[in-house]
Amino acid sequence: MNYQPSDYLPILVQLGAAIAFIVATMLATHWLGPKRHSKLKDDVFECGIESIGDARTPISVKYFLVAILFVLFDVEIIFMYPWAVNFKALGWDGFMEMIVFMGLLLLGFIYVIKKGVLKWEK
Amino acid sequence: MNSIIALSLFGIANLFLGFLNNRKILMPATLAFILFALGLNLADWNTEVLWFNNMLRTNNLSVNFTTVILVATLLVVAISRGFGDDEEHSHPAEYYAIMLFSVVGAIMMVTFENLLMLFIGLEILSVSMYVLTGSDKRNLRSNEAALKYFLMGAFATGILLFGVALVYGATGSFSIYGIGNFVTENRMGQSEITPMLYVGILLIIIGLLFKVSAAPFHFWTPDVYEGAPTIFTAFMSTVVKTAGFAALYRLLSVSFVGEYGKWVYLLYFLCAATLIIANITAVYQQSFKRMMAFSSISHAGYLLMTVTSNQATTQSSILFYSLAYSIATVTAFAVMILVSENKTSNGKPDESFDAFKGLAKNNPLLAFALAVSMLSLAGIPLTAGFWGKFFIFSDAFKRGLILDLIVAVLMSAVGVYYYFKPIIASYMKEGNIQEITIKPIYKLTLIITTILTILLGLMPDLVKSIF
Amino acid sequence: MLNIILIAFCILTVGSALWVLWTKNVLHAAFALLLTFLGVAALYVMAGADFLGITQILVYVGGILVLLIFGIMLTNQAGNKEGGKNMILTENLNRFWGILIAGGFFGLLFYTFTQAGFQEVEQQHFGEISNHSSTIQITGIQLMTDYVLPFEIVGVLLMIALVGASFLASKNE
Repeated sequence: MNYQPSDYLPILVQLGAAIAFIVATMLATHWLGPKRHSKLKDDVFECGIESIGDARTPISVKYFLVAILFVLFDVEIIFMYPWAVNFKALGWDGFMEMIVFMGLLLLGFIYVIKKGVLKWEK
Repeated sequence: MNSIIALSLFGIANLFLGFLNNRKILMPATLAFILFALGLNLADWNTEVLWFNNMLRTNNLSVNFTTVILVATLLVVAISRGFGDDEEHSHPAEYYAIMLFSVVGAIMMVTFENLLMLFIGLEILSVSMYVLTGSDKRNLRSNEAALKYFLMGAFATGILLFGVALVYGATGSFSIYGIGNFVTENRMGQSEITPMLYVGILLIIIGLLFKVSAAPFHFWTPDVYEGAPTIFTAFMSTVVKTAGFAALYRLLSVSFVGEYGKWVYLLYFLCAATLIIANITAVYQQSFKRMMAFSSISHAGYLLMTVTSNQATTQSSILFYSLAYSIATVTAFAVMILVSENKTSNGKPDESFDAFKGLAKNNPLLAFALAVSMLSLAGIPLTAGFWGKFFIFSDAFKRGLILDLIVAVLMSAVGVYYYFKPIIASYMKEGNIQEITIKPIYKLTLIITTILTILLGLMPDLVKSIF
Repeated sequence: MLNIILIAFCILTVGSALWVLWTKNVLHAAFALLLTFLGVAALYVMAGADFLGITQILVYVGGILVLLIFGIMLTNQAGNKEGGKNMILTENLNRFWGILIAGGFFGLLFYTFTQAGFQEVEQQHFGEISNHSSTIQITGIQLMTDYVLPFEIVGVLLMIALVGASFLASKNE
């Protein structure tokens, strides 16, 4: 049996449904809800200290590092997927190959942890 | 092949050696690792093996190229001086480990049989180079160089990959011999070749020419070479260039040789353009390091000439030239590191020609090593560089690349002018450089490279007969 | 029906890519890139490369874009706070040469692909590959048998990237 792109039609339908739901609810709240604006009501916090400056401040580079590591392990996961699909067919050979592959990345990960890159407070 | 596995493991070992308190162990360990890999590599001599379903091929050619690469790495590591043991901000374990990993990529580029391996090898080499270029984190120039190199290099890799995809689509094979058979058979007129193949070849050539910094894809070179820490500039200008030309030569001479009549015109003119642009620009440089960057572009032009000629002797010419060029370049950078760190201006190492003024007075060894390396790069007789140029010119003459030959001879004359600048500064100008203290291994490296350059200049057949 | 969906995704991809080029706000460009990636993933699926499509979504949409947006948030925006607007703006430089080179490249590829004769090429070289039910299965088998060396070496490459990234991005102690 040949693979058909139309096999993915359910995903498209699901996507359409998700987008339609979001658009519908947003439009509905926009039309249905009452609108009364005032200075106090539009404040970020109604009580407490007045907010100063901007919410969008530069964030620590550590978040960035976590994101980089995430992408790298994301790529690793992608390589596991076709292996997992053929897990039985590939048998022990495939398993050992995967162990070597994972071992390389695991060593890198051990290095990163030992180096203290992921330590939040130094 | 064995050296690839060994070097990968050694790289990891080096990373974890960095957690020991004793940093002094790193450099001897790295030297030992490289020597071990060199031994493994030489053990493959006179065997022809295909590894892992035609992924890699080891034969005498690949062993030779690997040897040149490993020797260059060995020399660079020997002059690294533990990356300044006194400096707390240096990370020698990471530097050495990444250098070893990058050599893995370089060896893959000279042994590949499958285009996939070429791509992965190139990527390993490039990614390591991006990191090493930016390794001087507190230096703005180093950061800029790394970013520039990364953006341009990633783009070039993308172009190369696109080319590989098109060639695969047109020929149905990743193997360089498979592609070669297809191209040659179609040349005989069995079926029509689609333009996909030509565009694919074009894109692959562009991607590789970028990596070896031939014009007009050389714009990143001066900035990156100048911004990177000098030790890594030396590494970059030797190992990357040798690996890049080995890959280019193998692809063009095995896979695309059936279409020689098509790509020869492209390389013919690019070679002349590279030689002219690099040499003329180099004349106007004030900084020694920047001059060396343009010098490396011009040597890419010479190497391109022998690749263009595609003679039977081309591979030995590339090998000899790469070896002579690598040895001389490493020597030049080694002297420069010592001199520029000795003489700082505005708190930064002075990298201009003026820094060499009066070097010969108190440091005769350094001045002599510098002079020999410069003479070799310029191609003056009795040095290795002369024979390198000689072999390349005779290849080009056999093929009848007259325009390239004329340009190359003229530009060699121009080269003499700027290569003599540091020699004149160190021997004839007045200056006040005190005696520079040199570590024994550093001194030994300088002596060995200088002797090698002269020895190869007197008796080129010593290695030429092997290649 | 399939053609209409294909054209819709093509328009989505090209349109959002053009948006990336035209907008001056980097954050808008990042979000437009999200649409481009999704469109490309859909095109992969429609071309029969479902594994590639999944990879595209998982790595690019899920990883790279997060990284990109993190990068924008990390950037110091002190210089661009005129009129209370907080954004990073870009400039378009060298428009002439950029358009010339991109146009030339487009022309080259357009000519190549119109002349390629894909159906003949497929019959000639790739007949047996395109008969499989899903690309994931054949990719997995090939990856672990014929292409096992590239697979392991990619592990080395990823480790270098890991070490290099943590080395470059971590603060000097």
